[in-house]
Amino acid sequence: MKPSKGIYLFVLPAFVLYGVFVLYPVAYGLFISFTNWDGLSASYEFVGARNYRNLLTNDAVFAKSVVNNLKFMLFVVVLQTALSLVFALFLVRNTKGNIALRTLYFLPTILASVSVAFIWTAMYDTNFGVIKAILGLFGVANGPGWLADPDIAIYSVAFAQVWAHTGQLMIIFIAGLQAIPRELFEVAEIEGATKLQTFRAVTWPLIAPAAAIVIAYTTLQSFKAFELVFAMTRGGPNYATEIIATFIYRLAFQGYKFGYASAASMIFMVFVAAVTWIQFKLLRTGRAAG
Amino acid sequence: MKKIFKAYNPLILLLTFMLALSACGGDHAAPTSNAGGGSSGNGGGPSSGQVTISFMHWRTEDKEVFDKLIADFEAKNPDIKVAQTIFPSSDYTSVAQQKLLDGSTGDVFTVFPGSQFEALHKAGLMEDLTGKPVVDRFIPNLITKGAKDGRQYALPYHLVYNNPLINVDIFKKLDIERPRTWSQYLDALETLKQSGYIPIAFPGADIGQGQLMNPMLMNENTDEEMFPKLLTGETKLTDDWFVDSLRKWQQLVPYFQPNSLGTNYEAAVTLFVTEQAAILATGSFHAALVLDQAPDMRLDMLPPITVEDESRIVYEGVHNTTFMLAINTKSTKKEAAEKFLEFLAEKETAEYYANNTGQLGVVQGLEYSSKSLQFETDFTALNTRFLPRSTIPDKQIEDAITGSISAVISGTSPEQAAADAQKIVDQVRNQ
Repeated sequence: MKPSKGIYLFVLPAFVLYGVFVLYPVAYGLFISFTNWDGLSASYEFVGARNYRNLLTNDAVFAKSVVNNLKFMLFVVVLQTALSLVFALFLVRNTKGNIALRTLYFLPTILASVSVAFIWTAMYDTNFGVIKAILGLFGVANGPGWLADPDIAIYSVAFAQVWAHTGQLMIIFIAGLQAIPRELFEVAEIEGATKLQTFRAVTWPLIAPAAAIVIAYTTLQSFKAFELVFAMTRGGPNYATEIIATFIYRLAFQGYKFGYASAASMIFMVFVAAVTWIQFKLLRTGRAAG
Repeated sequence: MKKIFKAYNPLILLLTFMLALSACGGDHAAPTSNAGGGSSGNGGGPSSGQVTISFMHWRTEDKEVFDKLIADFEAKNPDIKVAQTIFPSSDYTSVAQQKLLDGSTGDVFTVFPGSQFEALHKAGLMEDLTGKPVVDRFIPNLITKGAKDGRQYALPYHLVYNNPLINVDIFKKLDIERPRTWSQYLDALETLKQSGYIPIAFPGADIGQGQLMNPMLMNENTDEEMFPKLLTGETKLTDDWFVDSLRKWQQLVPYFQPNSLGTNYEAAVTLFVTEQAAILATGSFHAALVLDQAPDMRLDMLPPITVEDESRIVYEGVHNTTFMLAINTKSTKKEAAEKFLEFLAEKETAEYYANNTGQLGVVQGLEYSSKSLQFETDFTALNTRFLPRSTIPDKQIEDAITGSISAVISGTSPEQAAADAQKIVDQVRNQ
């Protein structure tokens, strides 16, 4: 039976909202990206593809922010996915102790990113921070410059991101693990499978969809980690922690270059979609092969 | 298995799209306000005809002082209410213009000199104050940064000296004379270091580079237009004056606390007030904060003299005129806004504000009783230069300059850091 055309009226409100709050801003951003608008003036000029050309061929800071974003994403995706899965495997049973630990690990997730930034900035402080104090107990007087050393600053910030969100993703994995029928584990046990074999043959294939969600979510979360990065380092030192979102923010809201920043936003959007699509394809291919 | 993935396909793609988009938006600064959340809507008061104006600024620490002044103003002007809308200075540039555009916030507002003033002027958001009696209440040669093309658009309320603060007693204890050359300055730092002090508390994680670069450059290139000329290509960051300055930064690094690029200004102030450090590389604007924590400390300012020959000393410090008061052209309550501006420019008001916030003022005839405004050296009598950083015409160029300093501190050669920064300047010129 074909549905009546009137049924489309029911999706109209959602579509209108989506159009007003998503499609229109994106279209307007695309339009602005071909101008030199400063975000304030009533007038602006069309500059064609100049903003895109400059960004893609001539802007060293933009290139650095892309590389930094990839480093940040890889660190967060690998460590956060691995840790959340390990925690989930250990805490999957609904015992009182496990529930208490789950709550504890989940707690950082409810903190605002800026609060996480303040906590970790204070911990990393090389003058008065707790990490310096702990290293001091082991005789290390001058530890690494966690946020001062351009070679490690991006990873220090990424670690704070992992700390804040591992608990959240652990919950997704626990839900996936608890949905696996117990009979499958019993069969594996009867067949004499080791724990590792059980994990490879039963657990992992059945939580793969949850893993795909976790990885996709973590990837996107890494790209939009603006608040954490900005509050911790403002992109410094010397652009060592500049990511695309902070680059765009500084251009638009501090540098009055909305046209240029809009072009960067468009490239950013395509870039994120491409990375996620590649990641998703790889995961699918991997599962199909498995 | 493919079916399972297919089932998740739409969800993942939707997530992708929504999160990518939401990364580009958001208002990241939360204002503090004392009345009506910063709204400046008409009426809103107990009596008819009463207007509420919004006073938008970045001095969170001055809220109580302004509360008191606003209460005085409202007592004298019962038909006008004033609501403070405060955004932290770090976010002010990014938030202010959006708030000013619709006229609902910031009937009276403050503006930074330099690129923000230029942008707001270009957008026509500042009322022309030329010829109004209020302008005459300010010291004429200190309000030039609020003027453009012979018209006065903003009136600086703060006179700031961006010269490093020193703990006078430490210098006296170690018999360190005021250095008059770069060698003497380095000798003084070495003496401090050998005596167990951190010579310079340097807040390299936030404001350090943007502050200390000013006295470091004041005598390296005395042309006031050295930074604006970067945009025309008449000067380059690879020129000797800038590379030489970076070389001197390189010489300073051993005298900063370890990992100085990870130290924010709060930690640097703590190093200074606890007398672990002898010099605080910020400026007079931190004197009140320092004295609040160490009331007995005797303060002075000591800008680094970067020349070897005393006869080449042109400037003995840097100053900035900032917290510039302006009226929003989009305001629908300009008359009330002007009254409030006039009130702030009264000698008694400005004097109360200066002495209770530790900020030198630009209103004529002020007398200072606050200890945080009294330094060993009378800087108002010295030849000081307007803050070079405030003349940088573009934020990307400013970031490139401060970034080159960070690069040198973290080990890059001055020549390479200057060349990298110049590449960014060239890229900005091509935008």
